[in-house]
Formats: sequence, C-alpha cells, structure tokens
Amino acid sequence: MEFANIEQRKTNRVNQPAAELAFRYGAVIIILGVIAFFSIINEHFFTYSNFSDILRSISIVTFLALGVTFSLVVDGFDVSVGSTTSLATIAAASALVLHRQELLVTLLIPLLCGILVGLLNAFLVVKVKLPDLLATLAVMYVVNGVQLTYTKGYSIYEGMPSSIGTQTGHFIPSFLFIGQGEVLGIPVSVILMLVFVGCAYVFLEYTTFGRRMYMVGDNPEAANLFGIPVNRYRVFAYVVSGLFAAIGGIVLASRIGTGQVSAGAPLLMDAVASAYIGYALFGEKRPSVIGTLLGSILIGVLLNGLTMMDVPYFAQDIVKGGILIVALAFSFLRKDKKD
Amino acid sequence: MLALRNIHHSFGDNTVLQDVTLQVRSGEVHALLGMNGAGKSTLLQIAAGVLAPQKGTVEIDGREANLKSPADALLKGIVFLTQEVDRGLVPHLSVHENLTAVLLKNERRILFHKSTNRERARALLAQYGLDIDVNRSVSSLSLYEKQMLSIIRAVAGNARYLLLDEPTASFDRKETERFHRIVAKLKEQGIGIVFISHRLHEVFALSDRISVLRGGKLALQKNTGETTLEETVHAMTGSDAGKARRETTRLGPTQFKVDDLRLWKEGPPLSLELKAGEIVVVFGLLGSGKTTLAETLFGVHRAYQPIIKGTERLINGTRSAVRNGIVLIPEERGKQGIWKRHDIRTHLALSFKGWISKRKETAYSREAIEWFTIRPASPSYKVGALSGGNQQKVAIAKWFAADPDVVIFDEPMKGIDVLAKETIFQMIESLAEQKKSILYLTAEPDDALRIADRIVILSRGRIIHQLQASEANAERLLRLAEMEENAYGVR
Repeated sequence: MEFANIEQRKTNRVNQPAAELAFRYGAVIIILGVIAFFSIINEHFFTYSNFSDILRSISIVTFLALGVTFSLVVDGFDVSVGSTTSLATIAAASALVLHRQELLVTLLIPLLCGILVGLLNAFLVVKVKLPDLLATLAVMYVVNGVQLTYTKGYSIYEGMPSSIGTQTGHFIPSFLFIGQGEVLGIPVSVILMLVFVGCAYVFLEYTTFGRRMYMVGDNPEAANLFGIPVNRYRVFAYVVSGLFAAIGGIVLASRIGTGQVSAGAPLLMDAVASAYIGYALFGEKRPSVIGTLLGSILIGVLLNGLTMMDVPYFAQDIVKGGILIVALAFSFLRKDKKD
Repeated sequence: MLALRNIHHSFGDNTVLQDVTLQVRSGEVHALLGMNGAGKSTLLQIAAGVLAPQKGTVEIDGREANLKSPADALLKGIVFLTQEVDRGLVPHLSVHENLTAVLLKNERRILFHKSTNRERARALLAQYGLDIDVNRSVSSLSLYEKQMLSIIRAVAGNARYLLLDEPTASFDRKETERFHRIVAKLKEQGIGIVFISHRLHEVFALSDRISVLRGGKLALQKNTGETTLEETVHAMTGSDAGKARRETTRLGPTQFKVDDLRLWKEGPPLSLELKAGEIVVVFGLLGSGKTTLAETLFGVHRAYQPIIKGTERLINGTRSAVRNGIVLIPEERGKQGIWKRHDIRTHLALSFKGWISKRKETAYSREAIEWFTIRPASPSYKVGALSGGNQQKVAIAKWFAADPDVVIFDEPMKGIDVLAKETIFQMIESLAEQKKSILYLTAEPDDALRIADRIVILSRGRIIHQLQASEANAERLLRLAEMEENAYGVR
C-alpha cells in the first residue's frame, strides 16, 4: 500500500506548468482581464475617480467578507453577518437619533452588538454543536427579527416623528465623517477598509496566533492533540466575524445617514462570494485576507463596469454568479489535492 | 474447498508473500497467525479478490476461480470482513433492513413487505442465538453486534467461505464466548472460515488448523491438535528475533508518576512511573487499551493528577498536558499528527509564540531538519508530500521546540520502512539521553525489545506485568500479553 502511494505521488508531482500557472493565478488573471476589458470598452472606466468610487462601494462589503473569512479559517461558516450589519446600523442610528449620544458610545454599542451575535453563533456551533451553516442561518433570522422588532419596521432618521414628538437627535458630523469624509482625496471608508484588511492580514499571516487558527481549521483533531485549545479559537473566530460585520454596519449607517432596517441583508451574498473567490484564489483552497479583498474588488469592478455599460442591475447577478462559478471551478477542479 | 496455491505477491521491490499455500475445507476453521507485516492481510485480500495474485492461483472446489474483484468473489461465495466492520453496513438503516438487503437483491425483488422483512430478520438472528431488536438502527449497535450482523448477513447471502481479519480484537470476554458459539454453528452449516487473530488461546480453542506466516513465508502449517502454543509463538517470532538490543543507561530520578489512573469510568486503576531518561514500553495487543492510555495521559479524555518532577499537577486537557511538559505522538499519523497541506517549517515552529519571523523559523527548521534527518531537507516542503517515515519524523520533531519532559509515542512505526524506522529509534534514544522520559506504546514485540529499558504489559486496561528489557524476549512478551489476559480477563 505504502508503495502504491509513493508511485501515485510521483505521477502527481509532474504537473503541466501552464495549467499550474493558470490555477495559481487564475483569479488574478480574471481580475486584470475584466479591468482591461472595461477600460477598452469605456473611456471613463480607467480613471482615478472611478477607481475611488469602486473602492468606496466595496468597502462595506469587504468588512462583512473579512468576517466570513475568519469563520472560514477555522473551517466554520458565518451567514449571520448581513443581519449583524443591519443590527449595528440600527444600533448606531438609534444611539444618535433616539438617545442623543456622542461618538464614542455610538461606536461602542454596535460593536458590542456584533460581539454578542458572535458569541451566540459560537455558543450554537461550538457548544451545542449545530452545523455552522444552519446555526448561523438561524441566528441570521433571529438578529434580523430583533432589529425589525426594535424599530417596529421603520427606519431611523433625523427628525422622525414619535410618541414624544419629533426626535431631536441627529447624525453628528464626526460620525458622518466615517462614511462620507475624505482625507487627501481618499474616502475615509476606503482608508478604514485598507487599515482593517492590513491588520487582519498581518494577524493571520504573521502571528503564531493566526497561524494556529489555520491549523485548527485544517485539522482540528491534530490541533487538539498539539494542545491547541480548538474551541477557544473557534469562539474567537465567530466573535471577530461579528465585530467586522458591526464595523460594516457603522460605516453603512454613516454613509447613508439614516438607520435603514435590514440594510445589511443584500450585502451578505456579495460578502460570501468575495470570501469564496478569495478561497479559490492562488488555487490553494485556503481562505485568506488578500484573496477576500481581491474577490471583493473583482465583484466591485464587475458591477461598476456593467453599470457603465448600461447592463440593467437585474441582469448583473447573472454575471456575478458566473464569475463565482469560474473562480470556484479553478480551485475545486484540481485533482491532486488530497485532503 | 477454497485453496490458495503457491501465492507470490510483492509491492514494488518489497516481497510480501512467497510461495504460500493455504486451504480451507467446508466446515473447517483455519487460523492465520503472524506478526504485523508478515503478509496475513495481503493473503486474505488475494483470497477475497481485492488483489490479484502475481503468481499462483486461487481455487474453489479444485477449479481455478480467477477472481476479478471483491464482487466477483462474493458471487462465488467468498466474503471478506475487515476490521472496519461498519464498512459494509448502512449505519442509519435498521437491523432488518441491513440484514434483508442481500436477500432481496438475490431474489431480484423491487417491492417488499416491511413486516415480513422483520420476521425474516428475526428468524435469522434467532438461528444464531443473537438477541438484537431488529428495529434498532445499525449505528446504535456495539462493535460486537455489528460484527455479528455482518457475519450473519454474509451467511444469509449464501457465503460459503468467510475471511475474518481480527474479528475478536475488540470483544470482551462474554462476547468472545458468544462468538465461539456462532463459529461452531457456522461450522455445522459447512462454512469454511479463515481468521486472523493475535490471541493465541482463542486460536487454539477455535481452529482446526493453524498457519503461521513470517516475513511472507509459511513458517508453520499444522492441525491444531498437533502443535503447541510454544511452537506457534516460536514460528511467529523466529529463532533469531527477540533479544533486547538496547544498552542499559543510567537513569535519573522519577520524573513522572501517576496512581489510580482509570482508562474508562469504571475501569481498573493503573499506576505508572517514569524516570528521567528512561524508555518504558507499554506492550499490549489490539484492544488492550493502548491508545486510550496514551490519550488519557495526554489529557484527552478526563482530568487526572500526576506528580511531575516532585510536584502534583492537574492535567485537564491537552493544553494543560503540553504546558506540564507531556506530549503525544498519536497513532494515526496522517489524521492526528500532521497537517498535510502545511510545510515542514510550520510544523517545526508550531510551538513558537508571538510574531512569526520567517527567517528565524527557517533557520531553526534547517537545524531541526538536519538533526532529525528529514528528507527532502527543505523547510518549505509540504508535509503531505513526504514519505511515511519522514512524516513521522516531522510529527515527532514538531514537539522539539516545546522542550517536553515526557514524550508518549503511540505505535509510531506503523507503515514506516525499515531504514526510517531505525532513524526514528535513534531519535527516540537521543531524546532519552536528554533526560526526557519516554513512554512507547506498541503491539510489536520486536519494536518493544529494540527500544525498551523496561516493559510493562497492558491488557484490558490494566498493567498485568512488568519486566526489564533484559529479561524479555518476543516469545515471552506475546505469551504474557496473551495468557494473562485469559487469567485476569473478566471485565
């Protein structure tokens, strides 16, 4: 048996270099191709202001996608990020408009909400041992219900009427700066996104803590037998996921200047798609921060380009789905990956 | 009569079977014995059509059978039950559904009646004196019940020859007795049985004929009445094998001590003491509780309080085990000991803390690779692509940076070639020279004798004997592990 395996390995190692290259950089090639395509088609595409627009448009989704990425790293999955974002949006708006709070509290409350949702997810997945997809799906409904119940289904905005008369709280400038401001011509939300992407990247790739998260996700049994507290790492991942979703919610509230109900829901699928494109990137089947960012950029570029080409928004999902299929095919079609 | 004639087989350059002839008549029980790697499993696989013999023939009733596949063998009445009994059963279907599936298939029926099905299943079970509720799902059955179910199903499907690979390894005493009765019943029905076992007493109680393989050759083939236990053990181990080979070393003070350790809830208490620099081998057959002992010491199952270097500690999980200087090299290397997709450097530097410095880790990895002679000597090589021996070296070396006091090896030589084996033995010895205590759990007498200072014999969760390596030889180990099991083995 042992010998048969060695023979097998030998044949596997001889890969065609061209195919190998295509697998490794497939997603990158696709992104560059798409950018080149739109640049040729439309002269306004390849401009600084357009790229700034694209980055701004993906900044919120990227936060959610980072959350999903962390759950993927420990071999989990978190689909509650969309609802968590909605909850955080409402929490921030409520703190400002209904409770007249200053910036610090307005930021802390949504973040706390994110941590709580993360802990609930972790409890269900790690302690109760529900399948991750189903547990977070259930939590998604619960959290969505919570924010709808709290607002009775109405959005929160400045000067909204209520039982005690018109609300006097308002979106303070320092809060709006997060989603609408610019520094040196770069949108603050883009800077925030890049900073958090950088932090997450450094954490996962350059600290032993992050490395152990990957080890937990890859082989929990071996990790446990190496004395790594597997469950704590998984709890941590879900909490981080909730936190990132909450940050996304804060930026979202600040961007639109109101507390829209269920505003995070449509972001979920884009976030999951970004994380999975990142998972497929470099043909490694490994969730990674850079991959997720590129995935998110790819989706942003596509939407932007298609809109410029006057492709109606309802047809854009077809293209998005197609891209996801191609990206996933690149990694899952590899035959020599033995798990 | 099922006959294997002059079978030769080799994997690559490695000859596993050489000119082996073995026959089993209807109603006869033929025991197949031999140490690990003697070729027993390969022989059964050939008989069952899993492998095609490279030379020699398989004959049924004097005619060449020319088995093309396990399914083909099944059609010709040969059923092979491996140690993983679950494989053939559908876990979430009920007992009667599993039992009657074959019958229905043979009758080419598409529609069936559930209540008649249940009746048939009950009748079948009753015929073999088995008391299982036919409505239970197979996944809720014990290993024994699954094994019996597989056998009955095979026989109901008109099997004429049963090939069993260590059928009784996990049975307790009562189950073993009941198994004996079922075997007797099968004999009456004229079914020929070949079975592999390491439990010699059982072999002598059950079999009509005994074959012993050693290094792929037939070392003994006699009717059970005409041979003795001594002769059989001797044939298994060979004359030259089985002397302790390690020079006695000077030992330090007691480093690790545990009393009243229980492997399972109402299990017998067990004590163990390891000195600094000592290599203690726990010798136990399959089903003795070896792996459970290793895992329990490593804190996998429940908390316990050992005395380490003179102070009492609490081990309540794998993390606290590592923090208290206890580490484990688990039995299932690929599944439990390594991360196949990660490179060598990541493994070796896994106990590093804080920021990752690739330069520092690579330098450290190179050193460790040199020291452990891991090949290829490249820190960025994926561990999954290494050979078994090198994977095991990585699995051991990954602990090195943690600087443990007690290193537990659970059957570390599984599937490792001879050369790598010796290197790994030397690694273990040099760990002992660094005053680490080694606990080495194995079912291989040769390995035990190669590495041990002291040998303790484990059977059904208790230590039944202790001896210095110098007093031991392979024959004695096997007989102790096996015989005392019968003397004490009431659970």
